[in-house]
Amino acid sequence: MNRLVMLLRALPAIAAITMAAMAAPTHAASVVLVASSFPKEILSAYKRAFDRSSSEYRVEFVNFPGTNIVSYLQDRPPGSRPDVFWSSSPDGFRALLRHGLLQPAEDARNPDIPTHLGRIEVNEASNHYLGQAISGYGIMWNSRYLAARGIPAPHSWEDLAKPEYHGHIVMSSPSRSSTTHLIVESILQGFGWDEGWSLILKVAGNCATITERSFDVPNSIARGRFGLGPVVDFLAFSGKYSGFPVDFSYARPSVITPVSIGLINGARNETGGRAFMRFTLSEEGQRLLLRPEISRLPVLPSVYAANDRPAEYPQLAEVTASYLPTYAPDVSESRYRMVGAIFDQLVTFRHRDLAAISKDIHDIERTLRARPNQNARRAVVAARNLVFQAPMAEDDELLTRKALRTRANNAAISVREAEWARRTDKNMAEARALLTAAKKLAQGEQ
Amino acid sequence: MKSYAIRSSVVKRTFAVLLAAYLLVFLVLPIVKLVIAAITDETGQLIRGPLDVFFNHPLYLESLFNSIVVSAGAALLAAIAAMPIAFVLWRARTRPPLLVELFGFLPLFVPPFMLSLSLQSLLGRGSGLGQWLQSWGDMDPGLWGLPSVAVIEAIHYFPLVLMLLIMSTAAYSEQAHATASVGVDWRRLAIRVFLPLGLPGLGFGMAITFLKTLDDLATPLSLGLTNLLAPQAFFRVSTYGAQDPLSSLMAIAMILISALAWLASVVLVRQGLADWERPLNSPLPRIRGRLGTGGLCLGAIGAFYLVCYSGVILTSIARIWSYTALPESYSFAHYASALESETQAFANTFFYCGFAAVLDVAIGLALAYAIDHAPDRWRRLLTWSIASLLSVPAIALAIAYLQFFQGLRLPLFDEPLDATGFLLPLAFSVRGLPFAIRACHLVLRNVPASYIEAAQFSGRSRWTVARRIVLPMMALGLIVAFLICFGVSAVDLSSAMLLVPSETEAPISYSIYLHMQSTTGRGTGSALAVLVIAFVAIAMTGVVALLRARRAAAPPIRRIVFPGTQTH
Repeated sequence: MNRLVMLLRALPAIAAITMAAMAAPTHAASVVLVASSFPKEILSAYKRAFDRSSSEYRVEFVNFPGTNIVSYLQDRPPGSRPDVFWSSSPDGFRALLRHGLLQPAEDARNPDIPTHLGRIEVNEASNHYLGQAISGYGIMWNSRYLAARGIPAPHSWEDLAKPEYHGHIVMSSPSRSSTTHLIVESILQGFGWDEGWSLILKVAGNCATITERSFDVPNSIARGRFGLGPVVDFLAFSGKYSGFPVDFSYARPSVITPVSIGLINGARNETGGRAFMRFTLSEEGQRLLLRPEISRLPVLPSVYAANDRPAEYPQLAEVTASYLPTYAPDVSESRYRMVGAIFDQLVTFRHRDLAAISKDIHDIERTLRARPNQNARRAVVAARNLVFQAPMAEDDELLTRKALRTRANNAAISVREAEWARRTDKNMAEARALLTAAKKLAQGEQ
Repeated sequence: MKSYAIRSSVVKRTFAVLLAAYLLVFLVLPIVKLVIAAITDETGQLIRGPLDVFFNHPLYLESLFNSIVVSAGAALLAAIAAMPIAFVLWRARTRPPLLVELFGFLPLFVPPFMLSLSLQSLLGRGSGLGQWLQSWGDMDPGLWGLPSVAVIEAIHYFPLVLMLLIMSTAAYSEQAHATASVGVDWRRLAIRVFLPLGLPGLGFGMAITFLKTLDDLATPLSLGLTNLLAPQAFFRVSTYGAQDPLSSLMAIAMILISALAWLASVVLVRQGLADWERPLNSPLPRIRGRLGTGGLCLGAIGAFYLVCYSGVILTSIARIWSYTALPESYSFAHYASALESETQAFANTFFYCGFAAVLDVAIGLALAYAIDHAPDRWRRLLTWSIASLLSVPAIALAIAYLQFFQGLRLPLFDEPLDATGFLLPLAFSVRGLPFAIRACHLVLRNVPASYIEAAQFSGRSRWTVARRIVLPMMALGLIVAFLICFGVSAVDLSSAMLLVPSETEAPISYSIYLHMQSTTGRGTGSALAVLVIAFVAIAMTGVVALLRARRAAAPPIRRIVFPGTQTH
């Protein structure tokens, strides 16, 4: 069998030789390939500025959700990987570091960037990745949308679980979006595993839709298609400073993380990669962050001194003060993929059912507030417990196991996923039955 | 008519070997590897773990079921909408002008997710009709659930089904009228004449709608729907890497479903094929410029599509459009930035799709030639097996490529194959091949052997004959074939999403998809979409002008789209 596979693999190489000359788009040695999950505005602004400033190199981007970078790099042998990884996902960087997929780049550092901003460590201790900007997380909303419906602006994650927000929230999945993952993980750590999942599931039940990419969240809020949602600050600010009627509030508990940039081990063009990193950390590269369509928080303090920003642009000190001190990146990293997998099985793939059940719960509770009924109350609570619960304990061995990328491990995860999916379906069916009974009880009193 | 025959056996053999190698390496072996990956572990032992997981996972079974239902639903909806309209046109003896007929094929060259995004702007809570009629309830297609995919795909592919129906019935509308005038009931004509005549066109249109819907990745994702096979396979690959056996299984499932659907349509189309060929060639009655029932119908359809796409059109010229029925202010800035920042994407599209189309035309010519000169049994087999290529979904092919070519390096350039844009045009070319072969078949047949023989008798060299007779006779057909293959590749977003090596190398449809997702990039993405649709429409108008210039215009196009039509 192996021989057959080898033979199969050799054939395309032979065919490739004959076709290489006509087919291959040329990759000159001067191309710097940067893997990043950032939106197109940021990337094209940096591409234009860098290509202009450098005579030797030209940068190209591969768009990549930060959640999948490890498997992407491991799929490629050294010497054929992208050169730089640039992302706001601290977990992604830690995973890369642990797998030995980064190399130190001390020479790319800008000495004017401090090592600490508030309590936040800007660079990784051994300079395997360097802080390039600061991101905070919170809730963005469309002011016109909320005003038209008389819904108050939210201030905390718990607010999002309230019945008045049902059907107006939009969020993405932690398995597809590293910023959503960070928000979910900070809730899990801030509230504790069980209470955290309960809150996340309630918020998800209030969502109108779960989007494929994180950028679709601020996009649909800015256009007023949905009212509000959890986002990374700069996506909200870029909409706000481009003239959209949106606003943003940092929610607690929240993490503030450095957006980092790191040199990949096994890069094709190492020197070019360093040059690009140096550029993003330079005065010019940091100033680009303040453009209205980008609106990120630079880490170079001198950039803030220039008074060319909107008046209410967030202040560095104010943002860094809201740092969640207990956030443990290693915990987050060890269960990184599992949190995404749980969310997908419980929420993403069952979202319409979850939203319908949430609506029923809100409706019956509203009725019960007007006309209390003990039995109905108990049934609703039982239904809530069934639907809004974590599918497994925090000390489950699958969560603490360092994610090995083997087919055996993947198979184990897949088996567990199937279990959760079956249990979720069962819980939802039971919850629906309980809610039907509760509805009858509540209405029977009238 | 005999085609121009190649006599040198060395040339023939070389061609045959190259052709076989291409099909083997870029189609057969990747799919074989896909199957092996799904049922064996690293050591080559047969395992059934992935199968067990697949069939024990409620979500995967549900996705499988949903995919079939949604695709069939889209095909049915499109057919149900198209049949009465086609009948009205038939009864009114309306033969749309060639250009309008060609616009019926626009759905093949425009990705359906654009319609989905346009409808979201139009019917969503934040803008357009949806904002205006909000008190009447939510109309956002993102909230309809699975039916939204079926409805959107049906709207998208409806013109195709309609035009195919019109084309396959038009030839007899005059006779039908004559029959009706001597007292035959129209209801009887509808059942006894219209339906049997229309069946091949209908079957083919429904098959295309089914296959394209099954394969569509961007539309469900843009609607936030994940419980379908294509998005599930995409999620598996991007989370677990290409070697994941479950994604192989999903790819195989998609191939099987497509093949079954294709077979079903073949059974449907096959009957009546023989009757169907001749009338197509006979002169056709045309709409005579006046606004009759048929003209009104076509106008209404045009207006409907204009409304459907008004979401994208308005977004492309809106500066700020947030929670108001109409944009607050307008500007053409998005077009400027689309043209300025996306020249690369245009260039990529021309490179990838152009390369794929050239390859397609070359291979299509060779294969069409081989089919023409094959013994009878083989000819039928070859024809149907090539046409069945239509049933290899782009996602399945892309997953197969990722598995098969992983770790291989491109010689000379020393780059890993999947980090170059090398795989994308090849995937495109495999997908475009069935279209290319139909087109090339007709091209070859347009070269009359008598001209060549006459030239050879008068002592011209082979080269002169090729240059002065064969090439000019084939040129127009080859251009049309090229354009068809180009267009089919350009909308193939599903392969692009999996095989594009870097954002700067993305073809235009993927670029639009990426733009559409950011707050400030939506306008640029919409502008790009409008530019693309305009470009396709202009290209079609150009083709029509060319065809007009040549009298022998209509038949080739019509036959290109009905693979499996045997001519004698």
